Amino acid sequence: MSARLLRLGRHLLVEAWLPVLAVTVWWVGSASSTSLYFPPLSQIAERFRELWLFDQVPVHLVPSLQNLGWGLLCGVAAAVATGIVIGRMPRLHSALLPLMEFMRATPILALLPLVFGLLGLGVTSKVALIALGAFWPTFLNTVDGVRSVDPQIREVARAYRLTRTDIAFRVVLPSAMPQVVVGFRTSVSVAVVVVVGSEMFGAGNGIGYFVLQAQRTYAIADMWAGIVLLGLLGYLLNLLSAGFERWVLSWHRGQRAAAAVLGEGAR
Amino acid sequence: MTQIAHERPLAAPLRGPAAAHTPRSAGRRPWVAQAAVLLGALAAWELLDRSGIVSDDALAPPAATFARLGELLVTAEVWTAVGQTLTGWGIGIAIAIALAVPLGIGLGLSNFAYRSTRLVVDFLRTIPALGLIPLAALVFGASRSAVLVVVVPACVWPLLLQTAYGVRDADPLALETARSFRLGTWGTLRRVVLPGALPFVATGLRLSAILGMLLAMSIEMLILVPGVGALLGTAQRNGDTVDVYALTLLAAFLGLAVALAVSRLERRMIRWHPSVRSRR
Repeated sequence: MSARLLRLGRHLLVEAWLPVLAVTVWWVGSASSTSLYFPPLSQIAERFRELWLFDQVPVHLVPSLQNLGWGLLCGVAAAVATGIVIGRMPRLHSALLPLMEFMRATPILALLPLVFGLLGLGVTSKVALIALGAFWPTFLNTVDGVRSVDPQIREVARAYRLTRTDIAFRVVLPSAMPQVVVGFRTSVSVAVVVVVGSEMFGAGNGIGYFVLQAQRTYAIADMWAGIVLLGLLGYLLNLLSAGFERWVLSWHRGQRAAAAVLGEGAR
Repeated sequence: MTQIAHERPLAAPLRGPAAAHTPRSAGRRPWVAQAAVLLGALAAWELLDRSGIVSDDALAPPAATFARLGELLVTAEVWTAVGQTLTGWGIGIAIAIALAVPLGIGLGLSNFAYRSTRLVVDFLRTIPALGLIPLAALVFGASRSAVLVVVVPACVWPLLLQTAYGVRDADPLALETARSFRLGTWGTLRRVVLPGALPFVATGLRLSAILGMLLAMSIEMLILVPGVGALLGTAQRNGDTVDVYALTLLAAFLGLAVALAVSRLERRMIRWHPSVRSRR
């Protein structure tokens, strides 16, 4: 037991020494900073506490998270549904290929002026653009996952006379799931970028708006506090989506086997 | 091993969009259907415009958009902007490669370094890239340096992680063979580890290049750094709908060109890889 504790301690030490050192260096190094652009970390931390615990949270953080949530939900749901259909229809897939390549290669934020023009400067435009940004990674991975379902498994399913719905939900979707989830995780990070970009371009609230506005009004410590919040947000979302992946794929035998091998390898 | 991709970067460079390019059972003449789909999309656009559901201020007709794009493409201004965007993007990617590949090799070779930096890397790489725009605008104003401040850090991560993962993925059997041949550290690195890591680096490069283009144009648009993005941002501010549509198309074609170029480059690097393996 104590050996395990020791190992855990050493593990924590190895993983944590650099972050602790980095923050300490920033804190000490900036303590007497008089630079306009790089205020002392203590000042940033104080502004962070004043702004984000929890005064400005309903004003700026909540709208951002709401847009993110709706955009992700719509984009990913549409992506999985259309991905399964198009993945199972090779001809349709091939016919749509050039159009899809074109649309997915478009830098998503270059569509901001167009979407704001079409749907107005409101929440709808932002959610639509976030959904579109989140759509492509999940969609492409779903199509790819569905297309690479083992043909033998399909034949077995047909031999057992499974219905189309059964094949879709019991055979195709589960075996495509690992790839769908990898796509989903990319969708999350794209969506976050679109959230921030859309708020910087045309908005009256949201954390992207806050950060840019703080810079324009030379509230530099506020700007830094916003950037730190964005960093924490990105990190937490990444942890959440990693947790989600582990939860969704927990049944996946290959995953468990790989995890076991990795676990032993790490010791 | 691909199932553990959540803890690691994309593990399978041979899959993904590049693999989807091979039409498996796409019929005899896929281009007929493909052209029909593209024409259908244009027709839908035209119909939407004619129906009057969307006001003329918000939606430009396709014919006028393509005509304007044609006009724009013979102006020096637009080609200068394309050049500026591509230059900013290219410099950013070059710096990212120069930083990320050596660091990635280092992280891949040393388990201690890999584990020590994991939290820092995880934190830094999940910062939404555009969050740095205000800082960049503050310190550098609307200049190319501002583009680089955002593009470089964002593009470092996919390359760094893919490189580190590729190096860590080195075939243990090949490593032992290298040891019995007494290749030495440098020889092993050059002849076994790095060639094995190359497909992973290529995938990282593709991800970084596409991300870099997206970010470069976004920054140009948001803080009006000269380039295609700034033209687009200005057109939007002036309320010139046809210009917005024509420039959006230009941005899309530029994005497509970059995506095609890098996935071609990636496939070339990958084609080289299995040939080496089969010779071994």
